[in-house]
Amino acid sequence: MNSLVTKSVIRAVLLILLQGLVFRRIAFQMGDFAFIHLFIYPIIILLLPIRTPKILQITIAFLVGLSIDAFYSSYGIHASAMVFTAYIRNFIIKLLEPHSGYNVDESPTLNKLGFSWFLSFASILFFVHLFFYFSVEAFSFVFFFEIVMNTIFSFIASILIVVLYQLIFRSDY
Amino acid sequence: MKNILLIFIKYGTHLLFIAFQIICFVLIVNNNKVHGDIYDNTKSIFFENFNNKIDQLSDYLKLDEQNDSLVRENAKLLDIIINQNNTSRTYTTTDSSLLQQYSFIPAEICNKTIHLRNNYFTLCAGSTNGVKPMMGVISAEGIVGITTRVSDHYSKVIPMLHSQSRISASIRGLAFFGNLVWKNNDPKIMTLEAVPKHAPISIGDLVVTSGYSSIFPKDLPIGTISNFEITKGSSNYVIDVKLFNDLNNLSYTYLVNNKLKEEKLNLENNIDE
Repeated sequence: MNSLVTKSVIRAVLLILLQGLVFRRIAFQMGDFAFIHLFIYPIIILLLPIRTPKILQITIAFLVGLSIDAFYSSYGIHASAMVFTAYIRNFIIKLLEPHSGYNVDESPTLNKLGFSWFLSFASILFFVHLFFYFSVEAFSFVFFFEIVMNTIFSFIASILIVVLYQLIFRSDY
Repeated sequence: MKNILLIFIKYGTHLLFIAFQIICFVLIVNNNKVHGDIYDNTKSIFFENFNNKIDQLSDYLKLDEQNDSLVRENAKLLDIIINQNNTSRTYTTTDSSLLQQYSFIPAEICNKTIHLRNNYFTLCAGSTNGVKPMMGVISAEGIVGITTRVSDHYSKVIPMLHSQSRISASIRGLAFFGNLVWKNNDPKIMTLEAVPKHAPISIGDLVVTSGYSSIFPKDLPIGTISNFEITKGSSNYVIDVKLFNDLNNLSYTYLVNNKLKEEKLNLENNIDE
């Protein structure tokens, strides 16, 4: 149990730094409109142990979002998206529950629950997160086209990175 | 108390979610310029719509009153037409002031300053010519200023190009009016303030005197709108007006004598009593 908390904290700190210092600087442009942004930090929320109290999950999401915002100097935008993702996560976990159920002490990693389960879990939450994030960033559905394009392209790039990350760190990280 | 705690335990996640989203919204609107602007704009559109609806409703409720006044006015006009047609030879006005409300006194400029912040003109016409304080001064192209002190043969004028001058001006064809003041030190440009931002103005519109002050006659051309903007947070335009008049190159002026001025001021000041 204790090692699970330690793991989660270390993972969160490392991923926040990685996002803020490395992935923040990487942005591809295709044509005039489509920007590809790499967002990997939602994985912090995705990989929280399933048994984590929901209130704690949302609070962690808010704090992580605020620290990402500090890097992006966009106060509240990432935090808002993160809180939303954490809120949705519980419903998705319930929705995707396998017949054998979860081991509630574990994190829902690719290694534990299999490739296809993890892919659908991460895809849903990443798509929701990115769509929410770009909507809040644009702050107006006047820019709906830009929001959708940003979401789709960033989603593809981010989910690739996340699956690679899970494949590389086969142990619980 | 117990119930409140129970509710919080049951719906805590949802409440916390909503609370965090509200905090984020406040953070976003207050700290990000673009988002704050969009929020302010949306808010103002919403409330403007709401106010317009209220205005329309109150206009509708006032229709009866307006109808009455229009009927009365129609009756009066009808009365005049009938009187004129029937008794055109005997109908004469006994009050000569109604025939000519304004008369003009020509005056030459004796001395002037132009490039100071507070300029003064001196006219070679004084009380012997019928000049009084607080008379309007105009030229062939536009307006010049207002007299302040008058001696026997001279009078001092505060021109438009004075930091304290305030001239009531409106835009031709519109009933909106505002104050014309001199802010920048360019003697060709003045600033029209206090025109509400819903007035449909555009660059090139003619700015004229409003006639509300009883110093200048109505509809004297002053200049054209050369630029306008709305300062942030204000509901009024700031309009730059390019003057027709070049006060640098001006030697003859006319003083406006409004015969009904005393009457109007007396009537208006009676409200205080």
